[in-house]
Amino acid sequence: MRLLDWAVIVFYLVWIVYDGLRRTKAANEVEGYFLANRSLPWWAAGLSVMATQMSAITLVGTTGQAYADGMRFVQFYFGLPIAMVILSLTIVPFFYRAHVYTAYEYLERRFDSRTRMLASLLFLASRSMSCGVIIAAPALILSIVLGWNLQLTVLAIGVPTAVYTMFGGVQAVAWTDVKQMAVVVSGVLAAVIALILGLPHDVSVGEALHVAGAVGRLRTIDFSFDLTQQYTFWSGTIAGLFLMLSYFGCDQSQVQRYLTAKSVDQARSSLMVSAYVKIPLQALILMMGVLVFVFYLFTAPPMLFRPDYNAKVAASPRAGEFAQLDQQFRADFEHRRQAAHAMAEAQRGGNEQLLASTRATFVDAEARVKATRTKAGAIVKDVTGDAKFNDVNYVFPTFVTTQLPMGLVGLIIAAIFAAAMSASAGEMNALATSTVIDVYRRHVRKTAPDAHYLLVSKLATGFWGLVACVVAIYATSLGSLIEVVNRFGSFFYGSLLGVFVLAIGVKRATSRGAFWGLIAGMSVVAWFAFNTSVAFLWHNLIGVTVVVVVGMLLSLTERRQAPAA
Amino acid sequence: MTANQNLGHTLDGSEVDRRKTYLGVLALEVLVIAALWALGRYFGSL
Repeated sequence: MRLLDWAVIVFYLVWIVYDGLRRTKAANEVEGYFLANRSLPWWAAGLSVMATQMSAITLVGTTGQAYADGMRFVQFYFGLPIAMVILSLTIVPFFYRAHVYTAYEYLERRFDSRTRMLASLLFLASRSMSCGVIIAAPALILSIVLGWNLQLTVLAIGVPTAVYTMFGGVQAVAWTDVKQMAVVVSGVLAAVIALILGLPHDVSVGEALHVAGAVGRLRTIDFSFDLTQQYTFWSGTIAGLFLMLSYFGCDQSQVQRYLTAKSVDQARSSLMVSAYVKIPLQALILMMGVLVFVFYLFTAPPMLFRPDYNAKVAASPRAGEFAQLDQQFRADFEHRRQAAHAMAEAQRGGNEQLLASTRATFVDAEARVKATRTKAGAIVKDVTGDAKFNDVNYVFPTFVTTQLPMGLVGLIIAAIFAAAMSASAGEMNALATSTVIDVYRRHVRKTAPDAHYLLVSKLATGFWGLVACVVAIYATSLGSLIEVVNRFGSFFYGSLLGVFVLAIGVKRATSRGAFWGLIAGMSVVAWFAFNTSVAFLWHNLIGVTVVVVVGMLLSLTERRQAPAA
Repeated sequence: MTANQNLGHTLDGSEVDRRKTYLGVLALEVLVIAALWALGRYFGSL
């Protein structure tokens, strides 16, 4: 990190906080603070939807995933465009015309306060934790790769976000999201260009992609129907559809984005931004990971991408063994580099026989590199005690900080900050909205002047910002907490969608059916999560089905009992 | 009589535009998935 990089990061932070704070004037009443007086154009609300959804882990983690495993992850989003069309036709006009602040407010109108309270409490519990994780994950990676202080990195992301969200409300969130999306896309494009320019002069992009394709890095679509496989065409399209319906239709952090639009049509159009752009953008981010893989075919990478663990092993009794493996890795890398060059040359020459033999040599060389990395990983697991060691999240930051020119390093770190800040700002804002509208105004103080609720709203935002930072600091020292938070979110999503399906689609559904249906859905999903190897995307479909079936059965029983009573 | 009138209502301009948008989204998705599949095939996935 050089002075110019620091200047870019500081400029980004100052610019975003200034831009957020200048929205304070527009947030002088509760409707302005939480719904921007329904004044935002579709494109700003749409970019805000995208920015809230895309966290830093999407940017850093999926790049590493493409480096290690290829582009299969893109299938995760195949249900998204279909979900956006369904939501535009159903939930968006419904919520918009109901003049609600939160999605859960509607559940009380349709069922009862108990169901609303349960849904909003589940949202508050799940999102307050995940907001911390959204900040913690990039802070941990950046602090390890750059040697920064972890707590200060958490605060550098969390405090500016909490400040502009607290004072500027949803207007600040939405307009900074627009800028942050621009920073993220600029960073991705700059990295892709740098990666292409970083290829050896005698290897074209097409030849490099053929080499990457030989070891499956461009294998994108998997049509196999296997419930235990996380990313397949079917899990992404069918199960992913239910996840996206639930996330964009029932999660307050997303519902609030499109409720800020000027009209129902503009709210619908805001979702179309993601419908059109999300899959191509994610494919570009994954392609960036493939290009990092290609880059490291010709430039020596570290054996493992986690410097703190490398240092721990170097100071352990197994240091000698690790150093020997490192030497082996250098030899394996050199062999693979030559094989990659030979394959690229054969590709250029067009000799099929030569291409087949060079390709086989390259595939074998890649397998050797992988085997040496696996052996090194086993030593790391043994020395550090981290049984789930995986360095994919460190690949992209390592590449950025060690290979890119001055200025570009700052831009991409600013993009990682932007992704983390935009996602967490949306969540802090939504957490405050649910706290004030679903809990405080409903149960604590039912009537008060608007200024009072505005003050409470700002305090609630500040409180959730503080909670996010505290969770982030602790989450980084408790690795498994991140997994627990993600699992808890997956128990909740499909089941919540089931309650909204009952509310909107089943006229006969009663409040008792909805409440116990939600509990049953979450319990069944939890059982599946802990006792089977069914991939988590399918949990959403299981959750919806259980809630709807249990909810309908209970509602029917109630109706039959009612006349007798 | 149009098919939409047969359904019991007439579509206004914005409704027609909206339907075109939805069809456009779905058509683009099919195209993108086909392109990604072709990318994998062309660049020799195993």
